[in-house]
Amino acid sequence: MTEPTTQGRAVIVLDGVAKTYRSLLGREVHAVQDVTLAIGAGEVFGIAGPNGAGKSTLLALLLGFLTPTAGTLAIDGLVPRAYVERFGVSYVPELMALPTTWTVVDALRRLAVLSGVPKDQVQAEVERVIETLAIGAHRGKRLRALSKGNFQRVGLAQALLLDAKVFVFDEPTHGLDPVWTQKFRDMVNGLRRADRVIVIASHNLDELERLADRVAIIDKGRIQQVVAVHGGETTARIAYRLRVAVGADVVLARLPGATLLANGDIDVPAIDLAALNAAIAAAIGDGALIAGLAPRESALEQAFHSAVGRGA
Amino acid sequence: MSGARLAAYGRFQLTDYVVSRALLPFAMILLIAGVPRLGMSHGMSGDYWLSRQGAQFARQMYVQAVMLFLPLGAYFATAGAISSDRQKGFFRFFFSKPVPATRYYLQQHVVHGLGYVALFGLLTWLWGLVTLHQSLHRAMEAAALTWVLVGGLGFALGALIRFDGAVLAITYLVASATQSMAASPQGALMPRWLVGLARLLPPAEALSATRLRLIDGLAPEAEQLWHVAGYGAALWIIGWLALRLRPLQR
Repeated sequence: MTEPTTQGRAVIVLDGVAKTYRSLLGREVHAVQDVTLAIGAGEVFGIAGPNGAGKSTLLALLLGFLTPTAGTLAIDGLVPRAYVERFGVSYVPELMALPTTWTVVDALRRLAVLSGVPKDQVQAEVERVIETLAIGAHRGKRLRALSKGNFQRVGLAQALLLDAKVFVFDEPTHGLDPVWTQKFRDMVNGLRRADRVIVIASHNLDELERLADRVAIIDKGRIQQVVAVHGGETTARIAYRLRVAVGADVVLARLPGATLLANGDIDVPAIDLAALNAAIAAAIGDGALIAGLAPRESALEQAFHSAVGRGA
Repeated sequence: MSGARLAAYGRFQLTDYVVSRALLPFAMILLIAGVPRLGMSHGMSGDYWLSRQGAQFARQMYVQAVMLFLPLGAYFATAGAISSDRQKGFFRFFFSKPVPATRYYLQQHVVHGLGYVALFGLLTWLWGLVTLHQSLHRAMEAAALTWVLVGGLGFALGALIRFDGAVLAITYLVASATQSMAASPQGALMPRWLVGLARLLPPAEALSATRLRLIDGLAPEAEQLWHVAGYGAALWIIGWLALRLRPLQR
């Protein structure tokens, strides 16, 4: 069981949530098990996990598309379906699915109306999100004529039509090119607000590391660990790679367990930042010249791999 | 607040009905009823339709068109209207917005029903232009009653199951066949379970009989009318409860 932790006032609260599917033959699949979590206002919360870990089921529970078989889940004190019916959630699903005969502008107009945009502002709001996502060139195209990346941008655009307090992104950069992946990150940073919760489920640990304040690592339906992404660099034990211009032997002597690679770089096993700096300072004192230093994996990657294994 | 949002969305639901659900039955009826009419038009002047023989012929063709269009049009208007959103995942976009699924689909059901009744009124009017005038009022009453039962069945099945289109067609055909058999002299030979099944299934035969009486300008038999309307209303409530209580994602 994971202890509830939160940064601001808890907006989303899960207490012992489980979702079990039962087949007609009585076989049970535990998609989500015993999840206890609190996500606070102002927080960007990541959910990471391998395929089939339970991320999308957890999001479906959060949106009220599914009901838990055990435990309770609340958004601002309401059960999710009641909350969503009343206030709405800005949501980008993993699979973009809208009637493909609709044009881009038609889809956005319809979803703007459902989002509650006043009639006289629908056109202006649709133009705003079209411009934000730079899909103006495709506005008259049917959705079936769009590339995967452009369809995904339509998905992001429709999420911006609603000024929601809760945003949920499920694999949001799936299909986006590197330029739009970066723009998505800028977009999320722009959406941060003290009264808003942003939940992002992704395979992409690098993305979560850049965007999220905390990341829950989920595997086999259970939350294995919740990692605070920022502020843990000084205490986390992380493996590094060093590029040494002069004095590799001196560096190796100061860092027990370090190994010299064929290209002259040195792999340093997991070590905390203070010990690493002390060893490097000593090596520099002994005459070594360091040309570069980079973590071999981030604290999040390390936590992810230790929670779900290297094969994930 | 969601009521205003949904009311504004009604025009899109009407467009969806016209584009995706009305054109096909409309084209089929024009093809099935219109082509023979054009083929037979040689020698049939306006006066012909005013003759006793012409009036009977026009009436006969109209009744055939009614029997074909009304169930078929209702089928096209309702099959997959709820289940396809669920199966294809469209619901994730619609119902992450501040919109209750129950109200959304109830409104869609009403809008599709109004479209269906109006479409049948239009067909009846067109029929009157090329043959003999038929009562629009009675035609639309017959269509509305058909919508109550067939539309209600489609609504309940769409909210409950995945392959609602196929189950709707099979249920209606089996109901029609077993009930017409039960009402015939051979009905006495039917096994008891089949008679029981015929009674349990939607009252397709009562609908058919009531529809014909309405079109003929006769008062419907109260028992049959209430059977059809009550059954349709019960299906509608079942659909509403399924939408309210069952999860959107399955």
